[in-house]
Amino acid sequence: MSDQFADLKILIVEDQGEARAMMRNMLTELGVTQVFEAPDGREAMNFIDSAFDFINLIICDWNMPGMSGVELLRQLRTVDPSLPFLMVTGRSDMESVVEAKSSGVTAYIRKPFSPKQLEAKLRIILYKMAA
Amino acid sequence: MDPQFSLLMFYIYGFLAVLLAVSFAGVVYFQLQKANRYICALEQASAVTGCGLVFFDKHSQFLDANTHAHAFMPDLFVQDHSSLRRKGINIKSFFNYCYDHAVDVDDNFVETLGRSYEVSGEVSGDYNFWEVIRTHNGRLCVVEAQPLNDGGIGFIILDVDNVKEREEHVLRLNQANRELFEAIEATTSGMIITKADENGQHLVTFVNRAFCELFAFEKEDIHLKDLLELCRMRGGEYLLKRLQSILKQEKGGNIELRYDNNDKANSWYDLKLTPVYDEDGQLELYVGIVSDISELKAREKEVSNGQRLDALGQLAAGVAHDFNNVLSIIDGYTRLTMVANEGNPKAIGYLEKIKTATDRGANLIKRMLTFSRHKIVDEDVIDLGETIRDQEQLLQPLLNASIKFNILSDSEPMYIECGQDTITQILMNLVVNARDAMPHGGALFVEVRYCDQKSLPKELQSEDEQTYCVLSVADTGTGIEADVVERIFDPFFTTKDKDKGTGLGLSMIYGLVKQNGGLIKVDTKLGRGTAMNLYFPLTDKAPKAITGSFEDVDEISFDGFTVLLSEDEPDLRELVGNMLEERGMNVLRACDGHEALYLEDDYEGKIDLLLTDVVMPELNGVELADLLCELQPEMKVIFMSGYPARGQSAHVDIPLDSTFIAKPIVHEDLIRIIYGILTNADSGTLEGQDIRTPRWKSEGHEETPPREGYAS
Repeated sequence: MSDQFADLKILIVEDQGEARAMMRNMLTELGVTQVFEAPDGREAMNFIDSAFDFINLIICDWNMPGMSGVELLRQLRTVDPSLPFLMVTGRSDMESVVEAKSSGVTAYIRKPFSPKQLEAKLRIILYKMAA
Repeated sequence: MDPQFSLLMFYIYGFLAVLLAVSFAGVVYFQLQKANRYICALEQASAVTGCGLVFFDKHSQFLDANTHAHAFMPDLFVQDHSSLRRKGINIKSFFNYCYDHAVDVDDNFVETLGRSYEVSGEVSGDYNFWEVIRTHNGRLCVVEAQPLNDGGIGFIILDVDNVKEREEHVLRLNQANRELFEAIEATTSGMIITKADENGQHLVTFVNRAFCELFAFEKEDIHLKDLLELCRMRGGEYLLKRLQSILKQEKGGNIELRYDNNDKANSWYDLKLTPVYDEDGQLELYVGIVSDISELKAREKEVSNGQRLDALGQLAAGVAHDFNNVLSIIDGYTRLTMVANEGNPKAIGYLEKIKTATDRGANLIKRMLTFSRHKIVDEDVIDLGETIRDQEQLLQPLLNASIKFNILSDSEPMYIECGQDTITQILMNLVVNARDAMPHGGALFVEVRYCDQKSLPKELQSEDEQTYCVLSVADTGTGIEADVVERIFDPFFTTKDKDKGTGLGLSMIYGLVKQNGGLIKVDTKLGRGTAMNLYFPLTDKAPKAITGSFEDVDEISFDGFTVLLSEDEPDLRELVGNMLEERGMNVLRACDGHEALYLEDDYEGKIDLLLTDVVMPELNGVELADLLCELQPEMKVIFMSGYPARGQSAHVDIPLDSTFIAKPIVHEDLIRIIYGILTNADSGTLEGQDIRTPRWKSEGHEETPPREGYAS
């Protein structure tokens, strides 16, 4: 496993515990060592506020009860306009994709996804971060 | 004679003379007063008709004239009446005036004139005078003599133009009335007018033809019948009560009624009653209009059906979403476990089974999401007619010998934006349904035809005049019951056995057609069969098309195809990119693997081909293809390498089943390779071949000598 993702510090925002755990496992398989979790948008914002500049990527579910992924992204952009944001979505209609892109996500990935698809998205994010 | 007596006599005679004169003056005064009243009355009457009146006494002396006469002959009546009388204007000067202004001198006029001279001013009383004159302002007037009882004579002056205008006005009114009546008779809405009587009844005074035809009445049978009685004759208890309630309130209202007449069953009508009040505010009439609202009712039903399906779609999308989350976890862990068990074929075999099951689940979710319109529609442009014709081989095995199968399509291309797979899915579902509806055999027609604006369903008719084609799948089967038709698009609704259908087929088709901006109409008759008509909007966009052949490379083009070209050598990237653009391809240029990933992520369409250099910094071509194929599963891949054959690269191991072209790139060879891989034609012969000795060239021929090409 290459160490290309070794510098990533990722916050997973997902309301379902099993999905969070699976994402963590996939990221670990890809060589990401620093993974943090938040069960909803509010806790995610608390985490970002308390550990500002600590994480360098958020992976967030689109559909969550309470604060949705898009709402979290809007709030995040008021405090950090550039923190990379990977949106995980179960929806794949063109309107949702356009909405995700226009709301300022760095990349999006559709459920269900394979480790390779996740790797491709992480590479795109790294490419954009470097650019 | 005694002078005193003479003086007395003089006074007496003088007094008598004065008395006589006063009496005479009084008589004249009263006569004049009487004449004036007479004139006043006539003046008022003539003001209505607009005619002029001139009177002469039995001595042919001017007596009086009304203001209209003055207006017609202002140069005759230049002075006031008393001066005229004093001056002695007589009938002669009136005749002369008429003579001077006559437009056509009547014989009677000359005769009359002569006679009037003969009697030297005495009026004979039998004048027969009628003449047309032109007045000072050019208007034509008829002057007509009218003998009076006292021996005098009156002249009536009638403005012909005015009369003509009045006549025309009356004619126009009659015409308008007739047109109005004809319009009311011709209209398809029923019309009824009732008049309220003192007994509280509403008696029919008018009904138009449509009303009679609608409720099968004869006009004369219902004339002056009470409205409620009519209602008893044709309507039910509900209608009667509703009508009574409206009539009682005297404010009008409307009733929607279902009425089956001879021509149309299941017809709906709207009866709108509008009250008309008299000047005292008392109810005088009711005007009732009966409109056919069957179509509106049908539309309402469709809308509510559509809303129900939308709600079901949202429900299905919600369920699918949660289910997808669960499935993602199973799928994710399966994949992770597969990676962890690479050396354990038994475990991998079990995991493959889990994966197959999750794939089936994922497929089911896709279909549910398709129904709820939450799935990306592939936006290929296809010729629907050609696509249908190509399906025949695929569809025939689904049918048994007792079913006669016909495919009909116009030869004109009908381009729609829809994936070929989508059409296949739709057709297979519809054909299987049609087959199941014909257990004892029958005929099945699959037809594609152009649909002009006139034959479009109302829902699709619009001002922008979008054109459509219709895909019709018709059978001669059992038909569908009315209560079933309403539910056939509901997800999981099925009339088939549990093991035969999931109830998602038609829901999916419904979603697919809606996503394409189309419409489904079901035409079914019990015992006769069913036709499913799917309307698709036609597009002006050009379809993806490959032209040319292996033998004629110059003619090969790949219109509408998208290629992602990843090459770190700028000159070669530009050269190959331009070359492919010249062949009609849409080229996305990337300088390395990461940029290629980025371009794929940013591009919203489907990428047909990845043409990538093998050796690139950071992310090599094989790794790139590995990642991109996960994101674009249908994408084809061609590797380019500076090493002349597979396995010669020290750094990268190109998969054996991949397509490979060695650098330097020969233009024609690259085009042939792309042609082969995109058309799936002869692709097996290309695998693992060095492009310098392709099999289609070398078979039975001398080995083709190396040609000059492009190299990085």
